[in-house]
Amino acid sequence: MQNTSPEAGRQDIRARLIALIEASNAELDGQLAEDTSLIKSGMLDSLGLFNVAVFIEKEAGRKVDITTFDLTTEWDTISDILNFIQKQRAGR
Amino acid sequence: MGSDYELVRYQPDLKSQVIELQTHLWSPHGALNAAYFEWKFERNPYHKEPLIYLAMHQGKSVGMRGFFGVKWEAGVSSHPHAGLYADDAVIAPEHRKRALMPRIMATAFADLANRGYDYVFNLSAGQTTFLSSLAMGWRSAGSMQPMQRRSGGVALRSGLRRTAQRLPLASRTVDGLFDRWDVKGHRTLEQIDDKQIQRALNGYPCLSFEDHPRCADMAALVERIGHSGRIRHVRDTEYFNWRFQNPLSRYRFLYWAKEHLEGYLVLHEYTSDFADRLFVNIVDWEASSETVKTELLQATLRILAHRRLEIWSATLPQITVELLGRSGFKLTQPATSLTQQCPAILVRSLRTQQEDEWRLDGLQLTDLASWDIRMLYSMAG
Repeated sequence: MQNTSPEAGRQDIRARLIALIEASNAELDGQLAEDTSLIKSGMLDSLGLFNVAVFIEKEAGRKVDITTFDLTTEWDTISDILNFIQKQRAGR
Repeated sequence: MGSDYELVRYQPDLKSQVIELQTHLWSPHGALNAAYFEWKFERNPYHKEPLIYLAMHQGKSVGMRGFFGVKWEAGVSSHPHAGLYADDAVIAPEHRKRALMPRIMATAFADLANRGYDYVFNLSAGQTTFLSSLAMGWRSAGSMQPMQRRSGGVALRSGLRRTAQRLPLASRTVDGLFDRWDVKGHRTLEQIDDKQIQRALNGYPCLSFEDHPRCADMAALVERIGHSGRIRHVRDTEYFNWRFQNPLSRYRFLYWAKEHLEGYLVLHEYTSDFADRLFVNIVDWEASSETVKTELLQATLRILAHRRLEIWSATLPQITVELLGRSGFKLTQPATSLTQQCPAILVRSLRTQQEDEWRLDGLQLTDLASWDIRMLYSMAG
């Protein structure tokens, strides 16, 4: 039976997010950790960031107004992004 | 990461490399890119030295961002402020996905701050540049709220073509018919029939449609009309003389004049093979009265009956927005929430000291109400 617990859901999103980011940066070589800086470090280029934004909006299931918060703090790491999606899903 | 790259400021011996690199963005034609480079960076009236930042790989330019000079005026004193407009972001295809642009921008910001610039601006960022700009500390003052007008013929063609594509047996015949219609719909500004212009202006002796800008008269009209004190680009003779020489664009001018010029409307279309050439943009439009303004717009609609038109409406007076609405212009619908912000006014402070509010002559740069924008001020027009 498929595990659909919140933690399993988070792990599933995490895996797909990492795959997306790794596909966006040819110089990444298995070095992506939960707390690796993606934006402040400049690791994500413009297209990579756009793909991540589309991913976040799709996973959050709602429109995200990107001008109302600081991307460099809310989306800087895998962990930040997962927390952001979780908060958006919870409607906070 | 990225240790094979060196970040440098442009030097004249790199000119041919920049022109080659821009075959990925400006146009596929080297000669056209060279003309655009010289116009934008070497003949810019406010900054003669090209301010371009490059990523180099094995001695070759593989990524860049350019900054050209602009001159804003704001407040009642109209004291001009020199500024820089960030544009021309490009990475060679084989060097993409290496996050080079954030490194180029970090180098640029540090150097421009040392040169004493307070802010940089961008009014024409696409979706990806807009998003990555926010991630690099830029702030948005808001969307330019484009309004578009599709002629009845264009809308009808699109609807019929969609229907025909669902009918395979009819599609070939119908496609040929649509292609002929499209040729008419996509006729460029320089291909407009003289008879069509004469018909459109018949009965309006004060109106004329011309190939060339009357720079001094236009500047005098702008000066005479005055302004509200919101932030706008200086539109003097020097600016107009430079601005309408853009080699990647084509302009046409509608004038309303008696003894003096009382109004003008500037039409623009792109000429690059890479650009969206479907639309004609209304990039500047001034008049001494609402009557003159209305006649200029109506003449435009008669002359360009088959073309799609676009104008930025965000900072236009309400009476002008209503006129556009009555004339068939509608606000464009954003494809997604991530694209609804573009095009926008983007500003970035270069000051090392953190400030909550970014201001020019007391006006808040991140407040749309501070601005009086025309598409002409951006590289979208």
